[in-house]
Amino acid sequence: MTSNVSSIQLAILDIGGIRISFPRNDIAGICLTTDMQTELPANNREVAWVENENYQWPVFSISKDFTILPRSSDKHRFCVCLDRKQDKTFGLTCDAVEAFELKDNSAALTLPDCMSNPISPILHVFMHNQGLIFMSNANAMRDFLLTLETVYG
Amino acid sequence: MAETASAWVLTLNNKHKIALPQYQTHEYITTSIQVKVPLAPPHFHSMLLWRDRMIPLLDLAILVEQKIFTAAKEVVIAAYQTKPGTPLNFVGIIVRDLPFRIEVNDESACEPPEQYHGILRNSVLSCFSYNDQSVPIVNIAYLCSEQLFKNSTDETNVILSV
Repeated sequence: MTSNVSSIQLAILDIGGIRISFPRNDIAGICLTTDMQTELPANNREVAWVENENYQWPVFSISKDFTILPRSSDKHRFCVCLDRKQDKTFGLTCDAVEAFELKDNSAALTLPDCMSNPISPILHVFMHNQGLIFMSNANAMRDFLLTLETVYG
Repeated sequence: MAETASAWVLTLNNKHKIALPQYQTHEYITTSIQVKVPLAPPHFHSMLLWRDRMIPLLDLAILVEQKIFTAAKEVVIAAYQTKPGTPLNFVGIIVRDLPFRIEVNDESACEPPEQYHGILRNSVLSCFSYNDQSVPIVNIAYLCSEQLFKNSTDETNVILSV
């Protein structure tokens, strides 16, 4: 007997207590924020650059409310480089990263209509350990950061 | 003799109350697990974990007063349908005192409070006077609709800028 249930491999990023996951395939690498180069031209929205796989990744920091931070939080110890189908995109800083297998993909639900925001990078949510994990991917987060750059940049 | 109907009165804050028809009032809980959702509308800032499911959490005081209130753990669970024959949806409504049941009739009908304008005014099904206070009966399905969020951008932005 076959099962329609399929699992999803995820990386969960903790950003100021908010937990947001990305498909494991979207993760190109994880660096320490101490390895970032923070000297940037004025008026840049990214907080730093980081060298990974012979590529310089622009790094962004967001708050738990999903606003772009002018500099990385002291609590952000890691920079996750997000890479959608070899299309290198950006790095995102976070407090912690953990690998997670969502064993039943039907557990991923969309937010209720009344809570959805068209610019939000949150695509789905699921419950885990009496808490919520938000689900995004590299494309959705990139589009969201571009929207914020357009509005505030 | 005027017909009466049962309603539950919910205290939004020290100034405002609303009422729900008895058939929509599902449960009252005094402790709850709430998770903030980034970029959600201010009056729907969190999800509530209730009976192994996630439901939206509505803080109507934010819509009424146009300012942010401190979190409250007491919640009334309301059930509603978007149209007849569809499954029940649930929403948690933050309350700041014990809910209580009353009987209302047409003789106590009155105008909604002055603060009820825009989308909030549109959500009022009827209103009655209780202890010299105007208590609206609100349309929960309307307040939880996606269309409301789309139509309320200006009002939501006002709250966001507080």
